Amino acid sequence: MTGPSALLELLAQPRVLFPLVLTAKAALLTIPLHLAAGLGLGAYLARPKAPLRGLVEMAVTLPLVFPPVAIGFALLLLLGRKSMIGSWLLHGFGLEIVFSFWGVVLGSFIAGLPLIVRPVQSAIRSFPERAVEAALVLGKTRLQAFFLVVLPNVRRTVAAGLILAFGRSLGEVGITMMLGGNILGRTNTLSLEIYNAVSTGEFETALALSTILGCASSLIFLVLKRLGAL
Amino acid sequence: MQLRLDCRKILPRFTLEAYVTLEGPGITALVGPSGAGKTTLLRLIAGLERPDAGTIHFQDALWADYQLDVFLEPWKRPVGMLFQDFALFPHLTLLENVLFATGDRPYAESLMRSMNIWELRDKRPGTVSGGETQRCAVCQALARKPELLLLDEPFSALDPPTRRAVGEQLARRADELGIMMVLVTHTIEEAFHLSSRVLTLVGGRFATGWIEETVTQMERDAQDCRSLLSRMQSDRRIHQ
Repeated sequence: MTGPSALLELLAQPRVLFPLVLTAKAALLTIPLHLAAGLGLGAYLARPKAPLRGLVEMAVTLPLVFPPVAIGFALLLLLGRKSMIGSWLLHGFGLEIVFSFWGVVLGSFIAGLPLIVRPVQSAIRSFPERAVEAALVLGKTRLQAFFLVVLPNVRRTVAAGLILAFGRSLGEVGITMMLGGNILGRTNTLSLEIYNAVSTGEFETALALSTILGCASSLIFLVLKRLGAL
Repeated sequence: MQLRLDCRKILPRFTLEAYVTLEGPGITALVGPSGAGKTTLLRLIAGLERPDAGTIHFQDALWADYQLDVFLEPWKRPVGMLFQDFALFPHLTLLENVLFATGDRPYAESLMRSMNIWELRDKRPGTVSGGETQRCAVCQALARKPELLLLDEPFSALDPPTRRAVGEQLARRADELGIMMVLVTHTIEEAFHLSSRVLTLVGGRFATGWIEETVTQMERDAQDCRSLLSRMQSDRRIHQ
């Protein structure tokens, strides 16, 4: 491979283009999911007396400390067609998660979840409760106080967490391989395609795809630096 | 205007026995030593704490009843509150802070003009002085047109002249608006200077005698200072 024209030629090939588009689609869907879950779970876990707090905290942190392949395998057993939840989703809503696009989205979501929830939780916890109480006695409900007072003051942390989670989702392999199945033309994401290319000795393709991922990561780094999170 | 507290709140070191009726309009000062339950009492009135027994009534409205499981949330009570350790929202300008409590811009402007801070409306809280911040916090609390204003040592971080000036401005404004105020303070002079009624809370109970003890102690301290000063002056004369 020589020069950018060769890289563009390679990217135009359907085999390379598909994982790019799939990864972009999954990432675009994962961002709003991370935002909603990050704010919701972050606010919930920031409450010292929240019920089942320890359990939820453990579940959210698990992807950071547990091998991704093992998490993927556990989810495969939990959401497979023959499992109770998988069968209920399939027959009740026609939704098949395992070995489908939704498996890829779920894998990306779970991998990035702790990177948005934990910083948001910590930022909300260190935000003075007195400011929230001041909003309450000024006539605002708890939800209004959260969006009008807490959120504007933790917005940088939310943005940084969101970008970190996005970066982690882009590079996700273990959970996606188990849940998505790495099926060519269906669930082979960019990271999985690098693995596939190396397995079949197509090092030029692997290099081109790695360059794209590298550029995306560098961009994330620059944005985080600009936000003051690094 | 009447606020009737008939409730208890269990605290780690003692139980706050809040059995008192406050009449308004005007300022009622609440004095007492640190950790006597003064702030908790204000928080019960504002709805930031729930009583562990009893009731709270304001006028004819029931704000809290432990037995009936009635509890009016803070945002539904016609109450304003100034905190000791929090004044304004840092992400908003002074004007936005006042507008946070009311959508009525002309009213916000009239309040800020009356407190001489209209010129600072576009500044952030961190860029103005402590006195200006507290004056804006007063405007913010009054902007919601509360019937009851709770003041939890809001001027304790200010120097004495500014403290006196802001306190007097607030008292004048409260008089004009005809609202009821409960002022928690450590300074007995301030309590008597600004308010017509002074209540004493010691160890979670309304008590008498604490003011006399404190005044006697203050007089003893003043006497000690005077004798120390005269000793220092006579020492200086001997050295000269």
